[in-house]
Amino acid sequence: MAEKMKEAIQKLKDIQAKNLIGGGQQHVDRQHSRGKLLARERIDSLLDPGTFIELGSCVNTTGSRMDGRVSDAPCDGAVIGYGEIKGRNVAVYSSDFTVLGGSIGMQHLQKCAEIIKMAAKWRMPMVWLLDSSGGRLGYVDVQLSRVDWYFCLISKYSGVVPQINVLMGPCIAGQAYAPTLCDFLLMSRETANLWLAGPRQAAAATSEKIDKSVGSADYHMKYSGTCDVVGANDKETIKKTRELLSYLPSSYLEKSPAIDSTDTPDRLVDDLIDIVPDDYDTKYDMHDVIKTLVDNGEYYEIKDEYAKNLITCFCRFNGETVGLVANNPNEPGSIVEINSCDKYYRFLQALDAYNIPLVNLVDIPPFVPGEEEEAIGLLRHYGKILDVYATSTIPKISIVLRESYGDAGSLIMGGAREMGTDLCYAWPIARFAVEASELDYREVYGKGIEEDAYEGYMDFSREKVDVFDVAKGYTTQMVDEIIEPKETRIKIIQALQLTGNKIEKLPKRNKLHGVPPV
Amino acid sequence: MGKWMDGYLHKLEMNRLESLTMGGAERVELQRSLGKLTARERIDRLVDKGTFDEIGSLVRDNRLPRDGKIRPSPGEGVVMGFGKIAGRPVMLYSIDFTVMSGAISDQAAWKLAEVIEMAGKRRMPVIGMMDSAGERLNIKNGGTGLNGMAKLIRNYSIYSGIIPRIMLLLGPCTGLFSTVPVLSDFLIINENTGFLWLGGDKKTEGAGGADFHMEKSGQCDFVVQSDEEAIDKAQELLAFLPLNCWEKAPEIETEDDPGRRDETILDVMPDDPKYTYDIHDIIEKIVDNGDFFEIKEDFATHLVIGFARFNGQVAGIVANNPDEMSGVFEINSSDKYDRFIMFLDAFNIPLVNLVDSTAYVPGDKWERLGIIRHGAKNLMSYSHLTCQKITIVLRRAYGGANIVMGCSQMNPDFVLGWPSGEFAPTGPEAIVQAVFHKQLEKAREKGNYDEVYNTFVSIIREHLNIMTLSKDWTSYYMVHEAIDPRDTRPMIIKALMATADKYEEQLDKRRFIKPA
Repeated sequence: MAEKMKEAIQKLKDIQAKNLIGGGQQHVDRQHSRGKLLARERIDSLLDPGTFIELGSCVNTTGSRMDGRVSDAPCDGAVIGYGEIKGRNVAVYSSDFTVLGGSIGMQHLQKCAEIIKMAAKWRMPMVWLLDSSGGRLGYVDVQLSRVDWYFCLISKYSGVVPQINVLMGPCIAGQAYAPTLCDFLLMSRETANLWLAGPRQAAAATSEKIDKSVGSADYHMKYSGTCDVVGANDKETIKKTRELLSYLPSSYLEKSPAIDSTDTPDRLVDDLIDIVPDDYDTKYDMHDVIKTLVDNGEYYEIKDEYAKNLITCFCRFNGETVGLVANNPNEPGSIVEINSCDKYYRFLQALDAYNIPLVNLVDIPPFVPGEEEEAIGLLRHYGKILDVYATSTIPKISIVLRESYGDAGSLIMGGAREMGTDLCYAWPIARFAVEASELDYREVYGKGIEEDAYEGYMDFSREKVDVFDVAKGYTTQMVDEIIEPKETRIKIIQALQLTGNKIEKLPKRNKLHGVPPV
Repeated sequence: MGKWMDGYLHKLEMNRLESLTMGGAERVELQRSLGKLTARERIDRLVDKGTFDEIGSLVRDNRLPRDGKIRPSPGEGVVMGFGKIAGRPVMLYSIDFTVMSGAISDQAAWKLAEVIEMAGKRRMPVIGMMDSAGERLNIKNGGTGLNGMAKLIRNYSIYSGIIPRIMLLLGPCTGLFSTVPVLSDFLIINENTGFLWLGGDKKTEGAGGADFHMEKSGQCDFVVQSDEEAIDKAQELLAFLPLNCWEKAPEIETEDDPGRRDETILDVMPDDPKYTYDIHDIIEKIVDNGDFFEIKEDFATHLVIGFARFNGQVAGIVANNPDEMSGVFEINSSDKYDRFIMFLDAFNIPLVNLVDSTAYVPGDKWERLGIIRHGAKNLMSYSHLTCQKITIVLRRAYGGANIVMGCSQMNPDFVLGWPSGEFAPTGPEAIVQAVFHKQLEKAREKGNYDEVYNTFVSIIREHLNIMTLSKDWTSYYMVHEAIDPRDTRPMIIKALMATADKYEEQLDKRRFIKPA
């Protein structure tokens, strides 16, 4: 072989070998001592072994600091490429925190932008393994780079291919929008922090002192509702990412991959009758119901510590992926509360965007939120989810276990056909009403409401009606069939099979969107 | 004509008269004593004289009342049909409070659902006038009540972004129906009689009223004092809107000179950027005849939104107001912004953004409320706009505010800047504090802190000024052109003309996934 070629090959090998330790052994050790994996270790745990195809491995920084200093920055702190997860293609970006803190230089930004664009164009999910200190301070190259901004790119491709963000380090200021724009955000409990402003910036802006608990994984799970899944550490969070992707299609043009189920489709669930008490006021945990119904008792919960009265999870029925949304009578409050609506809103948009059928398990407590929620926009948040439910065209299947009330949320849980519900089954103890509210508007409003309004006509809406009385009139269009609890799994599988080829066209809009409440 | 028709004609006439008597003289009298117009008087006032054609007037309550007492029910409490406003077609409905307190029945729900669908298919706006104490929906014995309500709500949703939907709340509105005014694009509430409530506990006086929904819940667009004023407002609003998403808003002849320069605009902004000013003063100087039609004026007042005209062409204006909280963004202003730009885009109305903001507010309180996802929501929505988009940087374009208000990287059609404009991740004051804290510490010891601090700030400020930054076309901190503030109006008009026929491709997808 020619000498020149040999040298060149050696040069390439040297660069690639050096890339493996990123910013150097000292930084590698520090990364490990913080309990974090390296950028490439993360990629290895995400992808099927040996499938990673790297792009831009010879990239280094092309910028310099304002004071003229030039730092070495292998890959400019961003490792990008492709690989397979359970045999399916995904695109990956992984920040290398050992290289200048994973900060974003011009080349880093361009790599990030290009991989997003390629993923969208080639119709494969985009996964971010994010661990970056943010904009590379003191460098002017970034702001001059004319790279497409990822804010715009993620938004543009939202609903085209699944975009998953796995945050395992800090994420501050402008960069904090990136994870939030993605379809799903997973955070590592040990090391992730998402802030609009970190402690230093917050102190500078408002003199407020905050610590690291603000913006942590649990914080964004429990309080802000920004985080979808928390993993204990890098390993677990990445493992959960692999799992999540198995429920999603590669793009909006496909369906989620079906798997061969080892659970039988015609399995009767005799336990249900014991799990769900027939006394309406007795609580139970809906998770117990879900476990008995789904394939092999496996489900993947989203936002499990947020707005807990509404459960949102992925699961499978006879191998087919489903988004399941259920009341949880074990938790206080109403599913039309603002946080529950927001949780449902995000989840249902994703289901509709990616052709995943919706199954509702309904047991709505007879209660609607009051003034505290009204004062911060209860109705527009309720309206937001009504709008998404009404305009989603995926199969929508509903099972009423015990109670279902219109004002308390039944219309977003498949309570009436004209909302676009495909099939609604109800258990024999189910009961229904239009209104759960018992507020007397003659007292709180007055102003000419007739004295005999309730006795005469308004109590029509408030009467609790037995399922047999509802199902007697098919014009009521609320219950297609009364089923025995033990048949529930079979009925869901049948319903999914029946609606598998569903096509529904809505009136054409000029733009992609309407004007939904916010 | 034979005599056999006479009997039918008599019946028809009786039906018409019965409709006019509504819920009976006593109830009509009560309605007036509450300071309200009747359902029919409202319609008469809303539409051009003689243009209202009713449908569904034959409908009556067809089931037994719970207490056995039969009450009058012409139209089942819903007066609806089609008419014209300023010569343009609309569909409309008006709930009759004199009929069983305006409570919505099965038939009423289905009538309403139908009128929305008709408006959607005929591609014309739908205007609702709401005055209803509750619902009398039935789900027993084949009762179609809840399903009718579902149909109504779904029709509102699927025709969202196809036709403008305007709601006048001139009385109560409760239960499931309370979500309908909020699904509407614009909600006008009468301060004296309007009441919007889902059904939970009410603790304080005034909760559920117009001011409550304007200032707190952010659901009311206009507060008015009377039915008459509400109707005037609706007419005024309609003049800014196209009939449907396939059209453009009507242009009018304007008396105002498109080339008008305004010398006094220079006096509005104070010399020192530390000081504030009222953005309304700027807006009024640049729009046709100083007419600015403000929306949600008492909600999130640090962000001003509304309609105006430029040389007769309608535009939506969004402007940070430095007079309120220094023009910051927080969760309420995010929501206010989001809904408005979605509307503008759906109906092809140009968006003109006036930027002077110190960005999103940080800290524990706001993080808890999801400040990041609210900012992300704005980014997601702005990225999907394909209408005309013009950004004008007046002064401070900092941090996230800069991005959501349409900096060059968000692909607006034009980014223009006043020479006072500055782009930065955060204000020069904060940058100086962060970067030069050692020097400042020394200066404090020496006793010349102010002098040193001010020097640093002015150096940084110079560096962040648009005139400096725009030396690089590829900078994300660039403007297409810097403009003399006095030329703001003529420049906006020229920019609107230049972009009048623009077309932006939308990617195929089922829907995008917006942060909550």
